[in-house]
Amino acid sequence: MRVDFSAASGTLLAPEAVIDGLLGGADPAPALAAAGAIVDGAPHPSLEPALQAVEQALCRMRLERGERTGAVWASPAVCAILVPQDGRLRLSSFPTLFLPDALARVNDLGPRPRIEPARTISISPGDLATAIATRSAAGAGLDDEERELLQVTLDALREHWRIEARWEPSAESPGVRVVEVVDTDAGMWSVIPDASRVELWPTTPTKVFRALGGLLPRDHEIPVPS
Amino acid sequence: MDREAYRHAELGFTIELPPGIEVHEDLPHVALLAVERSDVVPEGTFRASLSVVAEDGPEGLDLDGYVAGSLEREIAAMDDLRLLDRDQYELGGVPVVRTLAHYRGGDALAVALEQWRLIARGLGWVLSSTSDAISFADKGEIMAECAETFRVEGATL
Repeated sequence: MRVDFSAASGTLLAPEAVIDGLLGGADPAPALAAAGAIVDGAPHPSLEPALQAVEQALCRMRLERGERTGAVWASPAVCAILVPQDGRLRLSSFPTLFLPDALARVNDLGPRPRIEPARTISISPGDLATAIATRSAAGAGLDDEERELLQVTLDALREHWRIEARWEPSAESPGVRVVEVVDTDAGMWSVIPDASRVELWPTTPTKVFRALGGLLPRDHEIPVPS
Repeated sequence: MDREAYRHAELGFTIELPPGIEVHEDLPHVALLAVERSDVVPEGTFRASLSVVAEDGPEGLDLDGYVAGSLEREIAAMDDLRLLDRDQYELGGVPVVRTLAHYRGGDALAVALEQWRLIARGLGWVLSSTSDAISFADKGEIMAECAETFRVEGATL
C-alpha cells in the first residue's frame, strides 16, 4: 500500500504498520523516505510538529466515530491527529488552539434542529448500542413517549461519536473527560453515564463545541513538574 | 457573576456587561465594543469581546433575509468560516437568530464567533461575541449570558 507525504502541509498518509513503526520509534520504513517524509534519516521538518506532539503529549485522546477510531496527542503548543482515510491512516498536526475546530470538523459538527420535547431518556448501554446498530428503539425498555422520541432521532441518525481525553492527573483531577454524542438530522443527544445506565440529554452544537474546548486538562489538573 | 448595566445614549439599547471590561463607543460602524482588558489576559492572548452593530436595512427587511445576507458577507470576508449552530427564539419579546461559527484568525488563532441578529425599530442589529476557540467554553459562555440581556428600547414585534 502506498505512502504519500505532503511537505507543504506535513500530512502523511500511510498504512497502519508504517505509522505504528514511525510513532513507536522503530527504524523508518523505506517507503517513508521514498515519499519524502524521511530525509537523510530524519523526519522532514514539516512532519516534526506531529512527531513532537506525540512524544511530548500532555493529553491523549481516543476518537471513535461509528466503527472508525483515531487519536489526538495534545502538547501545549501543537497537536497531532491520526485518523483513518481510505484504508490508510492520515497523520497531521495543527496548533493546539485549533483543537476544538479540528474535533468539530472530524465529527462534522454543524447546525441541527432541537429535540422536542427536550426530555432526558435513561437507557442501558447495551440497549443504546442495539438501538443505534439497528436504528430501532423497539425493545429498549422505554415508555411510549421516550421510544417515539428516540425513534424519530434514530430514523435520522448521522453518527454516534465519542472522544475520550486522558492525562496524567494531579490530585485534583480525575485524569479523564469524555464527550459522547448521538448526532442525527433530527437533533443531538449527549450521552451521559449514570451508574449502570446512560442518560441521553438533548443537546446543541453550541454545547458540544463548548465541551470539545473543555476536553483538555486545566493547569491545576496536571502535576507540577518537579 | 455580577454584571454592569450599560445603556447606549444615542441608539437607545441596553445590555449587561462583564465587570471591569473595556468599553469603546468611538469605533466606525460599531455602536459598542466591550473587550477584555489587556492587563487581565496573558500577553499576546486573543482578547474576548462583545460588540453591537446597528445597520440600516431596506424597507420591509425580514429576519431570515437579513441573517442570510449578513452570514453570506461574513463567509466571504473571513478565512475558513464554518457555521456550527443556528437557533431562533425570542429575546425580550423580539425574534432573534443566534448562530455559532468558527474561523481562522491567523496561523495560530482559531476564533469562535457567536452572534445574535434581530430587527428592531427598522434597524438590523448584530451582537457578536468572539473568543479564541479553546476559551469558548468559559469566556464564550460569559459573553453569551451578557448578550441575552440585550434590549432595544421601544422595540415591538
